[in-house]
Formats: sequence, C-alpha cells, structure tokens
Amino acid sequence: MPVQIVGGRRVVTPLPPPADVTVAPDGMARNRTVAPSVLPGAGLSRAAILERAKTAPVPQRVQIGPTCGLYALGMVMDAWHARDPKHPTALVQDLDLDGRGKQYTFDPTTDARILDVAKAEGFTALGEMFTARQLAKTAERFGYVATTHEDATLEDLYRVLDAGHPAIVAFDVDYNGNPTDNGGDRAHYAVIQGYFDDASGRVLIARHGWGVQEDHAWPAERFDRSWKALQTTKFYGAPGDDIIPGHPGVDEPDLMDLPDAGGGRAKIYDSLGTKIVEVVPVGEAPVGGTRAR
Amino acid sequence: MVCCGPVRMDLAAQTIARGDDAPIAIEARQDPVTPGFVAVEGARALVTASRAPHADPRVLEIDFDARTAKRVASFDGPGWIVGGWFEGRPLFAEQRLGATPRFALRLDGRAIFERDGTQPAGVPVGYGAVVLAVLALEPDAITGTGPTALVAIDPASRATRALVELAPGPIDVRGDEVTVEGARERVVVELARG
Repeated sequence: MPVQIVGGRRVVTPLPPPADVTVAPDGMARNRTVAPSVLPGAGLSRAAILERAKTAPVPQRVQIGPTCGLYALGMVMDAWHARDPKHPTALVQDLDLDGRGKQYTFDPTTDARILDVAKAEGFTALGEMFTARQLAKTAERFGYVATTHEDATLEDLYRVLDAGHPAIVAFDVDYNGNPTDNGGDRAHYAVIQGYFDDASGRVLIARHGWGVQEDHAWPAERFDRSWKALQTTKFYGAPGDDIIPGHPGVDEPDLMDLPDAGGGRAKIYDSLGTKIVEVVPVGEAPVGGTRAR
Repeated sequence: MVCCGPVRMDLAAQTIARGDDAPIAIEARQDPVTPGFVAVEGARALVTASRAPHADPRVLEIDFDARTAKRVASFDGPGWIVGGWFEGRPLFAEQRLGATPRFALRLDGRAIFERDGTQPAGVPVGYGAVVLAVLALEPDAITGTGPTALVAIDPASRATRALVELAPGPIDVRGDEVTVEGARERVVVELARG
C-alpha cells in the first residue's frame, strides 16, 4: 500500500547567523559588511549607502543651547518610540514646542522635560552633561534602562550597534560637526546609528543635535582618536567655585564633580571619554555596561 | 570670548571690540563650542558672525576707526564662512554643509579652490603670490573628509601644491616661516621661494 501523506508539521530551527552576518532589529539577516556595490555617482547615492548600513536609525532633533547630550537622548527615545508607541518620548525643553519637525518628531508621551529632570537631579546647569553616567541616569528617570560602558572600545560600540541599539557617545567636534582632536574643548554628544566597511576602512554613521548634515559618516579610526581626546573643558572654569564663566548668576550643578585640571579647566576624560550610553526600553537587554542607580 | 591680539569678540554680548574702545554690536549667534574666527589687519578685522548656530553665516568687515560693521560675504543655510586677507583684498573660505557639502575659497567672489565634501575651518593667508590654507585635497566621497596638508594655491591658475601633511590649525606667516598650531602639534614649515 503506498504511503499517503495526510498532513505535516513545519519545524523551524533557528540557526546562528554566519560570522559575517548579523541580525537586524526586524529579524532579517543582513551582511555585517555593507560594502557599496557601486560608488556614489555611479549608481548608489551616499544617502542610500548610509541608509542601508544603519542598524539603529534615529530621527533628527536640532538642539537649542548647550544641550547636545539631552537632544541625543531625545533622538534615542524617538527611535524606540517609533518602534513601539508604548516606549516613552519627551521634549528636552519648552522651547521645543515651536519646533515641530526640527526640535522634535513625535508628540511627547509625558509633560516632563528632559532638561528640567536633569537640572532637578543636579546633573546640569544649562543642559551640559559632562558626566556620561548622569545622562544614563536621566534616561532612567523616563522609564528606560540605561547603562554606561566605561573605557569602551570600538568593538564595544559595534556590539551595541549589532544589537540594533543606538549608541550615545561623546567626542571632540570640529566646525563641520565631525570628530577632531582638540583636547576636549569642543566636547559634543552624538548618536551612532550603524557602521559599514568600504574601500577606505570602517565608517560610522552618526547624527547629532547640530543638524548640519542629514547623517555624518566618520572613519572609525578618526572617531576613536576623538573620543579619547576628551581631556579637559573650560566650561566651568575652575570647577568647584560655583561660577560658570560667561553665565553670571548661574551656579555649577550640585552634582558636578569634575576634578580640577588647573588653569581654569576641569578634567573630563574619566567622566566622558570613551563612554557609551546605551538606552533601551524595559524588556530589552542592554549588551553591556553598568547601570547607575 | 574670542581673542585675536587686541581684538576681542564677545559671543554672549554679541560685540567686538579693539583694546579699550567701546564695543561694536554684531550678530554672532554662534554655538560657543565653535566660536567665530577673527582676522585682523591694522584698523580693520574680518569677523565670522552668524544668525544662528552653525547656520546663516556672515563675514563682517569691521572698521574700528569708523566704528562700522559691513557684511562682505554670506549665505543662508548650514555652514560657515571665515575671512582672511590676500594683498589687502578679502579672501573667504566658505563651507556649505547639508545634504551635499561643498567648500570654496573665494577671492573677490571668484572661486580659486573648490571641492565637494568638507574642509577644516581656518583663515586662509597670503604668502607672496600664493594663498596658503590647510586643506584635504582628496576628500573621501562617503565621509567627505581626508588627510590634510598645508597647501599653496595660485589664485591666477587655481593650481594647488601640497607642501607638507599636517593637522589643521591657525596659520601664522612670519618671513619665510609658516606656523600651523593644531591641538596636539605645532608645525613650522620653512618655505623656499622658487
């Protein structure tokens, strides 16, 4: 008697991705290396190349004031909110209300302002965030889980991005919004959204609060030198005297605890250099770093 | 506060002043992280001002004796402009940012150097018949940046010659020595006249 097949059961066994493939947030496998198959001008535009390579895209927010870290956090909140509207997002400050499409993308899910929360916690006076761990704590006040990767390397950064998590980092910025090495005088925060390899080497894709370019593409080596270059700042002048130069009547934040570097400068490497702030919603596990309660 | 010898630009107050003279008002809404540049020649200065941080840049020619501020270069949109002097004439380095960054050095409005991508911000200077600037002659098509060098540009022919690779910084010409002072290095280049 011939075998009669009356039904069947499909069994799916997930296989680990090959070493050169990673899994994007939507579950699709993608090549870890997104090499442009054609150069810009010969088919694929620069914008298209960058878009293909992003694992953790974030909407743009243009900052108002010395608030780059807080707007970076806002962009990350927007990214999670876009994936699932139950994830909270907030405005940085009331001034944002006149800037829909520029200072914010989604209606906030809370009336709390990121700047107000950071000020109330004693982390900042004007929006500046020279301690990465305090930026992470600010994120947690909005219901996110946030870790700080200390002494982070580029490999740590890639691991965060491979998980589909945007990475908030600080670096020394030049006039074009790109990484430079100026000793920390121009410390600035950005969100890294992905990376890819091309003929010139590994390239990071970033966005930050200046909004002068849709997406920045940075040679990874150049960024690596830049976040290691964050040595000192003159923002507070001599730290601990409760005076912020150029801002009479504004006191140093209560929890500003930067060591004095002498010469009217504060040391920032330990608080800001080579740090990754990884912000994820509850239920999503960060890939590393430590939480600051 | 940005200083250039006896000239001080106060971003908070949006003024520029020479010595103890009364300050002159200018529209300088720069991000203090990236203050504007000042080039001084005698009783006049070329000042980078802006209507918004990182956008709508202007170069103002300040006459400290007449106490006037005249706009001599500008564009709207993201980017920056800095001004220098060449044979007494204003020479501008203009960086347009946005989706398609493009840089130009302009003398009397005529481009003597142009590239897609971004270039380091810095005041170009004159040396004899050439203009000196720290530039990336071959910016990468994706990143828009590239290794930088002290470059001599012939304004007449637009020919360029990379003199020595170095990091960007303010350029100072004294005799036949050019000093470029970056954040971590100070390079002195001895020029030979050909």
